[in-house]
Amino acid sequence: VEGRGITRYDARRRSFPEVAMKLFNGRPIQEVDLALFVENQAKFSPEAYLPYAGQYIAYSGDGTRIVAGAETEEELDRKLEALGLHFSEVVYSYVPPDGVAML
Amino acid sequence: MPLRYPYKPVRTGQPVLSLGGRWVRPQALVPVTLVGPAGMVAGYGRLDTAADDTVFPERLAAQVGIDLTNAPPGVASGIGPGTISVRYAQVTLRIAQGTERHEWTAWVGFTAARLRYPLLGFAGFLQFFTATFHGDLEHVELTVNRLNPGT
Repeated sequence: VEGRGITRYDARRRSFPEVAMKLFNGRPIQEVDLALFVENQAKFSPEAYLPYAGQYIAYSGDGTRIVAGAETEEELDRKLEALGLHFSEVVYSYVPPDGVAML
Repeated sequence: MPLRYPYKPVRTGQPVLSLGGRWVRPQALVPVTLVGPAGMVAGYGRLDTAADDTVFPERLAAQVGIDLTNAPPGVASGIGPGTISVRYAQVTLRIAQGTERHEWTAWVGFTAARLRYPLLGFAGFLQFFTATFHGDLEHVELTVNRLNPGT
């Protein structure tokens, strides 16, 4: 359930055990809800990945968009930091280079 | 009830010969959360029935506060020449889909070698599930088995 950019648990779903709330940039870190993420991420079109071929990417925690991409994981983390995002608020992935089969 | 993950379709810039010329490669990837004493991090892992262990990049251990200083070491090999060093730690893993959520404790490896995706191999991951790969439907179903020590 999305509200003002904050991902909240749907009360109908059973949530994982609570972990201590941590702060980042003076605000609470919003834990990724994997079930919500999977539901939204499945709506991505295959073409959405074309601009990120060969890059490490980070999805928003609710799975509705790709927030950043970079050639290396370190650069990606720097971009997330610049965007004011904590690493616990995104879902990491990778897009294979075009024409390269992953073994 | 199984957790069903559609294969992730990635568009290619040219037809894929080995898939009959289609322009999309489907990938069996599952989002998983790694939970440590100082936090958690989520990312897509690659279901790998040929991998003996579940292995994450070392940088993720640092992010969630897992100290690998005195972790038991190991050696692994895969694609490419040579071997890589891994260090093992007990972690909590989570997956979720629909109304199903599962969390368990497992021994996983961490490596400084560059991994495109964490490897979700037998030890730590696939040992706890019955995995059915539907090649025609392009999704994988994971059903918790009796070995799963979690919730």
